[in-house]
Amino acid sequence: MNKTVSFFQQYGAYLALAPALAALLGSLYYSEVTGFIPCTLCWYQRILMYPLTLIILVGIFKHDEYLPNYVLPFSILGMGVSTYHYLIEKGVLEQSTACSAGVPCNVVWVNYLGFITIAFMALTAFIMITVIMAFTRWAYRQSDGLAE
Amino acid sequence: MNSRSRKTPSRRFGPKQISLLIGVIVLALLVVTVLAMLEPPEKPAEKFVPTLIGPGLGD
Repeated sequence: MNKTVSFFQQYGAYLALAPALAALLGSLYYSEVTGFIPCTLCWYQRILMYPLTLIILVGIFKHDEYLPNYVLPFSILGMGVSTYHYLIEKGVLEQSTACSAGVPCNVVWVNYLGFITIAFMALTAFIMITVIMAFTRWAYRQSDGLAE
Repeated sequence: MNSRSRKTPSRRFGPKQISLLIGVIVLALLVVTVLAMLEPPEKPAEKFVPTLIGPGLGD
């Protein structure tokens, strides 16, 4: 138990940084190198994902135990937007009027193995960040409890 | 002993932390490399390209 608490206190932020940075670089690769144009919902996901890399980096440098409190609102909201986007891509939900201008949100640029789309990758990254940060928050709370 | 004091992880940012950061960056680059190696499908038609500069305006 103490080992798990100590592990997440020391490495939780690094573990969360990996999917955030991969998502940042991956989305930039798809838009700037491959030339896929982001749709409206893609932009909302970018707005929620891009700051995470910087926030987590600052948290690492400052050893901030409140880092999960800053990261979780972004990642939980991102999970919601990515899920919504993925359901639109798969035709489960109708796309909203916000998606009708420019690039439609139901355009599937990549579809590896029949289910891995860009929204799915974003959703995976948001879930990973959320789970890791939730464990990190739990770890800090545990040590708070031990100290009292 | 002060009841508010507690054992916190080392606040020093040393070689171990730098190695961890480099490892994370390498891992992220590896993911992007894998994405790049996977052959992307053909792009949907050019009709999705937003045209801020319409025909004739760029002349």
